[in-house]
Amino acid sequence: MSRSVNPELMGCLENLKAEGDRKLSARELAEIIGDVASTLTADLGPTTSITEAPAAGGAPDAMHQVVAAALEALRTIGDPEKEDGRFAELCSEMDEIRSATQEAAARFLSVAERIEDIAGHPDLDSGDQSDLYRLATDIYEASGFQDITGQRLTHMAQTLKQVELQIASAEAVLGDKNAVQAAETLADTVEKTEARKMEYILHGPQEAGKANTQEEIDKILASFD
Amino acid sequence: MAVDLNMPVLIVDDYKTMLRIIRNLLKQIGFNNVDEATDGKAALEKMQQRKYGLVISDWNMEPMTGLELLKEVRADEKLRPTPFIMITAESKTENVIAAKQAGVNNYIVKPFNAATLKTKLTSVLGDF
Repeated sequence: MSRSVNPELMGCLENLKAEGDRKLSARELAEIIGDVASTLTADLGPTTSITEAPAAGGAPDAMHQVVAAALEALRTIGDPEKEDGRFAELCSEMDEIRSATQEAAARFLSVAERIEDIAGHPDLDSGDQSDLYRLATDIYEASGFQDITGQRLTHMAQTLKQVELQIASAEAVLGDKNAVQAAETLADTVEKTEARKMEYILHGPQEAGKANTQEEIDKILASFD
Repeated sequence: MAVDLNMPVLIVDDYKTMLRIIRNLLKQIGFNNVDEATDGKAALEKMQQRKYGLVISDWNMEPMTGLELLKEVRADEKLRPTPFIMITAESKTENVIAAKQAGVNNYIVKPFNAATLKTKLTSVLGDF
C-alpha cells in the first residue's frame, strides 16, 4: 500500500537530524506531530470519523488504526467545552490542594511560634526551654513540605497545558476549525513557559534519590575554589 | 570579627510559608532585622532603597527569578558586595554551576534544615 508523505515534513526531519541534540520548542514539536498525523490521515475528509474510515486501498492499516484510536482517546480527555481549557476542573482541584496545604502549613507555623513564646518564659527550666525550641525548629523544617508540594503542582499544571496543546493540534489536523485557534493560543503559552525554563534552566524539585544532595552541591561549589 | 546580628537581612521567596519559615529560623539564630520580598523585582527595588548585609533568595519566582536578581545585584557596583545565598529546590548540577558563575556565595537545596542554614550563614558571614 502506498501513502503520500509530506515532503516538507521529511525535509524538516532531515534538518533536525543534521542539527544533532538541539531541544525542540513546543511549537516545533506540535507542528511535527501535526504533519505526521496529517500524513497518516491524508486520505480522510475533515468531517469523517477517523476510527470508522478505511485506510488507503480499502484494507485496514494497523498503524492508522492505532493512531486513530489514540487521537479519539485524547479527544475524550477533560471537558473541551470549558472556556478556560479542557483541564480547568483538574487545575481547579490542584489549586484547592495548594490552598489546603498552605493553610495547614500556616497553622503548623502558628503552633511553632506559640511554642517559642512559651519557651521564652523566664520561669521555665532551661532543659525544657531547649526541648521546646527544638520542637519549634522541627515544625519549621517540616512545614517546608508546602513549598515543594506547590512547585510540583505547578509543574503538573504546566504538563497538562502541553497535553492540551497536543490534543488541540490533533483536533485541528482532523478538521476542527475551533481547535486551530485554541492550538495557536496554547502553543504560545507553552512555548513561552518552555523558553523561560530553558533560559533559566529551571527544573523544579527533582525526584527523591535523583536530586543532588546538599553534600553533592557543596562539592560542586568547592570545585570552583 | 563577630557577625552583627542587627544587620538588615532580605529574604526573597514567592511562598509566604517559606518566608515565614526562614524568618523564624533566622530569628532563632539571632537575626531580628529581617525584611521580605516575594520576587526578584521587588527585592531589587528594596535593595536600591536600603543597604542589606545579606540576601537569601529562592530561585523559581516570577516576574524576576532569583538568578536574574543575583545577576542584577552583581552587575550593580553599589549592590555587588552584598552576600547572596540561594535557597532553592533546583538541585541539578547545571543550576548550581549557573548560580556559582553568576556570583552566588552559597547554595542551599530545599528541603533544608536549620543546621544547614546556620552552617551556610557561618560560611558566608563568619562566626556568630
